Amino acid sequence: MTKRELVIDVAERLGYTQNEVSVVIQGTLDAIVACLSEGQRLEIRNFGVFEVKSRDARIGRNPRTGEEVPISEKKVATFKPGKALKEYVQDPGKLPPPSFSDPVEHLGTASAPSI
Amino acid sequence: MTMTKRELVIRVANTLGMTQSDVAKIIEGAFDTISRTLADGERWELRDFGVFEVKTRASRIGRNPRTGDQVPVPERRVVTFRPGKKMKELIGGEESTEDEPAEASGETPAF
Repeated sequence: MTKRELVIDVAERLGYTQNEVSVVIQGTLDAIVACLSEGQRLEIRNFGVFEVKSRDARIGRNPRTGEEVPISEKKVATFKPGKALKEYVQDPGKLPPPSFSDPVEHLGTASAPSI
Repeated sequence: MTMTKRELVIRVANTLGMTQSDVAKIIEGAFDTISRTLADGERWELRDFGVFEVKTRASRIGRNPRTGDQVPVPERRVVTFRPGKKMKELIGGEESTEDEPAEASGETPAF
């Protein structure tokens, strides 16, 4: 799924315009990247933790030629899922009902109630 | 330095000139949608940011490190994240995206 679909879904559920949601989601993703590049760790309760970690320098190998290639130390963004997200993914039955009044019929595995 | 959702909301609200309440609701809603659909096995590709995906880790025989007992570890599903292009560039410290132009620094062959 893509950012576009996320925007549509959130807009529909909350009653904001797609434009408003799009601006906030983009702004949030940009802010997360900015925080990480400033060296900050970001903890989104129930969702997870974004953090920058260093990967040590190592000797790599060109798989084609077998040649040894030095790889310098580098920083990478990592994500560690939080407690709730881990549980939901392991057992979707643990998902709480949507916290919004409108049912989101195209989400979740539960079959839509027949009207 | 750990930033929380609250601080993220304030930062985004200030940047966009929107109320913290609106920004908080939308951010909350977005993470909620992502969590729910990941639980459902969906893959999320947020351009420039990264990809969230659920992977299945096979069951294996683990070992209690204290006693050395063998313990079966059942198959489980985990969320993985792979940073996207912009994220990699900004975090990795590679400020410029363009590859270093192989500049022959003043060493013009003497002819």
